[in-house]
Amino acid sequence: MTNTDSDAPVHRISRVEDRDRLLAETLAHAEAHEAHYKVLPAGEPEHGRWKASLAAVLLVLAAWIALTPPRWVAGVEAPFPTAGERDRGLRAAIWMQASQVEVFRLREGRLPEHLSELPVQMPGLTLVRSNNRVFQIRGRLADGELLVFDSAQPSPAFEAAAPGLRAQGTP
Amino acid sequence: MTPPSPGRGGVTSGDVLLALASLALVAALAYPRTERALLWRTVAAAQADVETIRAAAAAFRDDAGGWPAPAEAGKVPAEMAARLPPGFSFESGSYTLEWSRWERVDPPDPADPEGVVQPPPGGFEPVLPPPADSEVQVPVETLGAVTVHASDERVLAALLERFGPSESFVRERSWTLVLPVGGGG
Repeated sequence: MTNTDSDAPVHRISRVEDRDRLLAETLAHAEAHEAHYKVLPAGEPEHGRWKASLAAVLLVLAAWIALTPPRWVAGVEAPFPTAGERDRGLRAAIWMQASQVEVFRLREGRLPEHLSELPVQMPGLTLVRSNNRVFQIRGRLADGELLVFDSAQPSPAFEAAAPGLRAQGTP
Repeated sequence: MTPPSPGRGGVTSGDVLLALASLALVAALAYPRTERALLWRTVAAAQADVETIRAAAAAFRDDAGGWPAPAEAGKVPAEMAARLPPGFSFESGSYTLEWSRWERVDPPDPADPEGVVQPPPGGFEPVLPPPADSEVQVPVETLGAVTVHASDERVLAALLERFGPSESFVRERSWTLVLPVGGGG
């Protein structure tokens, strides 16, 4: 039997000294590997800082886009109703409601006790009766401003706010 | 055997941070456009629904001589149902439709400085008792109205812009299109 195969069992390595030597070599080899992995390559710290900086820039960019998306990102703008449109809408609603009260008055010969007596109501409006004929319709804008339609002195601003409600051919 | 170079085969915290930041940027870029696209799709659907209701109401008015009877928000008016496309609903995921009728008296005489609507001939002051048969002829005009209720006020603003302030108005979380007596078809 020859001893050419290093992996084949050899009688002499079964000795205590050889086993200790081989164990020591193996441990040394493992420690060398461990030490090698623990050492960062020369460019790694720079790479880490570069990635962290880029990530921070991307995060800031993402936050900016999320909070105030520019038009090239969001597409066509979709605005909310303006204060002027809300004001005009409330005036139109008040005028429509006042027309309903007038119709009720002509039909019934009296003013309604509440707007709930009318067949249709605009939400958020209140009726205040001054006497059997004169009344007020009140409504508030989102900022708390009170708008009052007085049937005794109707402001043209209310009817002007709802031109589509005017009869055909009226000025 | 040569061990692999450190840092080449593994993932570092910098890599993870960079990947997360990239995902955040992609999401920030994609969300506004997607959300805006969904909004405009809702506006287009609401506009088409309003046009459908307006056409159905006008067809009913041409046949019956008056606007259909009103219905609660989200409910199809019975008199209008036959003139609407099959399966048409007044309830959408993003908005609710409502058909109503509003009445108005003849406009006041421009020569009247107070502009107050005058009582019918004979007057009713002092207060008259209500008519027994409710057949009093009052010069009343009836208007039709299509209302869109939506929680997203941008939908209402877009409808106001598309139909114009001469026909419609925004009130709280609703937009109303008024169909005049002689038009709207």
